[in-house]
Amino acid sequence: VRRYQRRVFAVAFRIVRRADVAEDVAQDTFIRAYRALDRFEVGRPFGPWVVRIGANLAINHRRSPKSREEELPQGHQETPGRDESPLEQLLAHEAGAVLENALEALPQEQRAVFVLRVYESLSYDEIAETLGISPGTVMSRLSRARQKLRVLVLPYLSRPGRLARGSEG
Amino acid sequence: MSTHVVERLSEYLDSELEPGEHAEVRAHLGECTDCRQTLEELRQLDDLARALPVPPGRPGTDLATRVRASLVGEAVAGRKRLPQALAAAAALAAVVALPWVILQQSPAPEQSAALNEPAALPSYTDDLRREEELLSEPVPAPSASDRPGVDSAQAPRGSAAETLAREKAVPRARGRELTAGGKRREEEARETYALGYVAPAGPAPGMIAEAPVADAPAAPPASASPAAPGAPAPAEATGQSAIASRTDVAEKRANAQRPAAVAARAGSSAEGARVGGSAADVGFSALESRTVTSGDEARRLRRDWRLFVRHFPGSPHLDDARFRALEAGARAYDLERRPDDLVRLRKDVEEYVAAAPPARAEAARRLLDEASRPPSP
Repeated sequence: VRRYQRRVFAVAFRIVRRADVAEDVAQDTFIRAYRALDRFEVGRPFGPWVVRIGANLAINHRRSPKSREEELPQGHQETPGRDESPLEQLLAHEAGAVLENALEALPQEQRAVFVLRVYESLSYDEIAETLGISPGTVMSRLSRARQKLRVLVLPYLSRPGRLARGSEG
Repeated sequence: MSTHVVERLSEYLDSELEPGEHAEVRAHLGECTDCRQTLEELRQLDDLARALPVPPGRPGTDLATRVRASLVGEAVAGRKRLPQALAAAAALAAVVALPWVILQQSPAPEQSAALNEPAALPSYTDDLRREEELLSEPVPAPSASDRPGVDSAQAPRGSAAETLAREKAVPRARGRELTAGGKRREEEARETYALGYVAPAGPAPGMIAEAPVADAPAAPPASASPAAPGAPAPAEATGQSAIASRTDVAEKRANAQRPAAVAARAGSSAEGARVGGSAADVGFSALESRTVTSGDEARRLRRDWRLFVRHFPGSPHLDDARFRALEAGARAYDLERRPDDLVRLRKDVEEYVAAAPPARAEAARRLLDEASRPPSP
């Protein structure tokens, strides 16, 4: 549990957008994983397997009526990088806040695909298997999600290389 | 200029396009500034998203502890629904609490120096080291008088093959005989045991409720009857006097080895003692079904088998459990090739061989030989 809890929590948080809910999802994830251990293939990596369980639980939580009644998440709380100028820090902070809101506004099925691809680096086939959809659907959802997000944060991306970290250009 | 490829840029970015398509998009990007710009923006978007922070979890509670507590809590909650499960849950709580309590009362460092541990065990976790200190006393050798007659009175130990066949037959036979209540108890113990005894931050919910420390009566001397309140080991008594008498010697020995507070706490539930036999069975089964994929898991499994031996000295599975501890130790070495695992395995085997029947001793030696061989290229 300790080895994977941060990773599972992060994926859940990025999908449900609430830390307290993500904690509950993470807890449920490990309980479910424990109960499903007989279905885990020994020799395969445990991390992706348990992350997928967490992603599914997070998605299901978002679908539940209760989740719709819950409060919206807290605002963006990014700590700017130390190597940026004050203006860059401000812009990065603002860009993060905008992106947080944009992610929140995404349909949850698009957000889930985005999270699994961008944060977990799963292949389209793996995402498809995780979410029980076709690779083609993964492709279209991801493409739509990225285009929507890109449009919303475009003012902050209009000068390539200014805000991005580690991009190749 | 060819048609814009904006709709395929997401796949291009993820290298998910077919080779032909990938080359096509790449060629277009070479001549189209707009699409290049969009691709760069998508890259930045991903980078920006990855830079978004994830808040820390809830302070003060550890997820592992809560997961463990939740599973154990579910098992204990069964008491309210099934009267028959009441005693089983009590026994389980005591069984789960024992390792924790024992860990709290492990020998002081100066004592552990005299426990004949290998001099230099590099980088072993504190948790495992404490467990080693606890378990480094010689494990009682199985003997006819120690074994309850239920299962052990069957055919005497024969060849290694017979022994192994019997090992595999036990869970299957038990599975067929289980009633609905038995299955419930098995589920409870399976969940409890399979969590392992990994240095819990505190006893899970249900444990304290079963046996509050402050209210626990002082343990009577080891010679007291195991049926007396506060004295019985939670492990093997079944509530039937005949079986209780057969486990008498083992329980006295176990009680004598436990700190008084441990015995008091563990024995505060007479109901727990009555169903201890079931707990041993399901505990054995749960440990048997544990999956090991890393050295740490193998070490924990070894430790838990040894704890099982310690806590269920009258179990008909005692010898099997001891052998399983060896196998888990060998598995740890096999997985990570840490020298300290091999040192430990040699010590375990030596200890086992000294008290085991010849066929089992030979099997243990073979296990060590195979583990000691260098891995095949």
